[in-house]
Amino acid sequence: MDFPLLAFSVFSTIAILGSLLVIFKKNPVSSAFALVLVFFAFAGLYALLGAHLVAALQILVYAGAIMVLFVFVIMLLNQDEPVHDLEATGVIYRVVSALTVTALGAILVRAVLASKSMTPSGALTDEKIASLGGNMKAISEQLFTDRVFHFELTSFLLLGAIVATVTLAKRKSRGEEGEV
Amino acid sequence: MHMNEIIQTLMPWLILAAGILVTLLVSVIRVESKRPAQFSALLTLVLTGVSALQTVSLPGEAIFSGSIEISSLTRILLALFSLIGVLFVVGADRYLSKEKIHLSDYYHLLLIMILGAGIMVAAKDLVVLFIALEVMSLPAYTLAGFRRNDSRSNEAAIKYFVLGGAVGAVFLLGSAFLFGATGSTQFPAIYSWSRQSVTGSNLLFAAGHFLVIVAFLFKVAAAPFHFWKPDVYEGAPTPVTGLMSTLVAVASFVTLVRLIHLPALDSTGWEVYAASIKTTIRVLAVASLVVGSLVIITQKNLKRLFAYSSISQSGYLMLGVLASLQPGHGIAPVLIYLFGYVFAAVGLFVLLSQSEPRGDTGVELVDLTGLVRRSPLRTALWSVLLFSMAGMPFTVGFFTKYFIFISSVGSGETPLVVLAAMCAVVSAYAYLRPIGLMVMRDADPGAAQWGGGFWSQLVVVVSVILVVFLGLMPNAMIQYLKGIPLIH
Repeated sequence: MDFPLLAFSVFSTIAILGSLLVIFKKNPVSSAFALVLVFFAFAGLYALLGAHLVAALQILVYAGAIMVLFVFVIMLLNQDEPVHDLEATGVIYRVVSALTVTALGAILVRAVLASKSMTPSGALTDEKIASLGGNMKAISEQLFTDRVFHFELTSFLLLGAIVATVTLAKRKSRGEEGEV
Repeated sequence: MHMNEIIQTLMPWLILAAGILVTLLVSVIRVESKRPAQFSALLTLVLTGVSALQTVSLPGEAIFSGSIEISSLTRILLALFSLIGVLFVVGADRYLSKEKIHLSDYYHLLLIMILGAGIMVAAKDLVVLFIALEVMSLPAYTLAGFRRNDSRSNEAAIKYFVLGGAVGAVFLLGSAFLFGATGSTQFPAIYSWSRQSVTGSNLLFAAGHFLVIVAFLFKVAAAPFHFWKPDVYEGAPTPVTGLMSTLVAVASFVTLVRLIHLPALDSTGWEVYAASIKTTIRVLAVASLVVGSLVIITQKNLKRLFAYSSISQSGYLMLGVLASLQPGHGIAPVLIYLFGYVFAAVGLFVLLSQSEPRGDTGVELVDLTGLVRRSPLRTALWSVLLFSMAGMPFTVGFFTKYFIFISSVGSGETPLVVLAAMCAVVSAYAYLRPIGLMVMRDADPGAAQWGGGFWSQLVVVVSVILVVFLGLMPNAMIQYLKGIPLIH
């Protein structure tokens, strides 16, 4: 077995097992740490694909910043109430959703398998990226030329998110009454 | 392209974006007063609408390396969104004070939502489309939970948010598949890929295409993707329900149509795929029509009633989409239907927001009993708008349904049209029963009081005038919208 395939198998196995742990662990902190595992495994997969910048960002942003946020939220909302159990939902629901998800999964897997015969296409081939001077340069150039509109639009997304958060989280102003 | 030209082309959007920032800034001038934000939002929307209408006949132009295309369609839609915004700024004033949730945030979120919707319909790139979808959706989730003290409003926000997040994930997965299959996220590149593809459609492309379509089927709540809608409609503050039913619905539906038209379905090798897309749309149309029309007659809560109404509207619109897949047919019937629906829906939701608060229960049919004696004018306004929803002649609702039906017959979907006409007759009962209760019955002792105030009544009157005027003279609107091509 050559190295990329071995590495791919290891990282994928970690990612899949980690995702299952995220769902089935009853303690939210355990779930959060299982999620860190998933993030790292994904970073490994990105690196294998040659997307080193994305791999680094995955670690920095997801495993670093977003995870801290998760843990903070768990800490702030930590309640002693019993954790809601999967058992609480009806059997029929669980069977139907399991079947549906399996069917959907089968279709998606088939779709991905069908792509095996296709050659990778797109403007940014490996050679093109190398000639531009690596991932970082290629992405930066895209971000400030062809994709500048995406970039600017994202700032409005963030603005919207800030206003939304403040709206939901701020204390009552004079226009409002009552307890939450 | 030169920077000046880009600015000129994008002017209406830039005015809106600048207006959002100004509105955010002026609302801190006097924190207690909501008037600065309200006034600034109104001014922004009027300027945006006027600027969009002024340039509406200019030819379409793709800018930012083909990320977005500004065309007649997107300009007229931005103008429509601004109009909806103006009506819901003016019409919601009293409702917000009455419910004690009059905050400047309503106006900020409304403007950001309109910007997202305005860019979403112009997006020619799956990534821009996704970001714009989120710019539109985030404020919508928040506004659904705007009555922070009300548990049902919170429930609506959470349901809408969780489902919206899942929808976003589905859309992204679909985009990734499309990118993998075609090598581009841009609509024209995907279109020309489908023209040149030697093998015709392939499974990876098909899976991606279906996933992005399913994401928007959730947004427009076509059955069987509709289960969230009644709960969210019921829990959200009434003007926000109105915004979801008009602004979000129109933007999502236009985007849905554009996504369905993403590949060139008439190319060689795509026959099987085109047929399966058509079958899917037929199934969706039948499901939405049947669910919407049958469940609507059992509803007592008015907001739930309008939720099922909008589900059946998705069914009628699917007929128009089906017709647009026929070579030589445009999306004019769909646009005409959406415009007609919006003009009536704005008035209906503002009317609905005029009932005095009744604590936990929403407005029920019983609250309308004997309204003709208590408030004859309001009864007349209700009646006209409900007539339009039922598709009665002399209202815009008649012509919009008529156009959907004839374009559908023209594309060989006669059995579906017969079914749709039967559903229209069945659901007419649901629209006419409130009128019966208003006119024939004495007021129930528990019926809610109604009081709108001048401004919200004005909005309803504007909506009624549009409905009647376009019902009597629909030609101008129809001729105009017929000339607008879909952008790929």
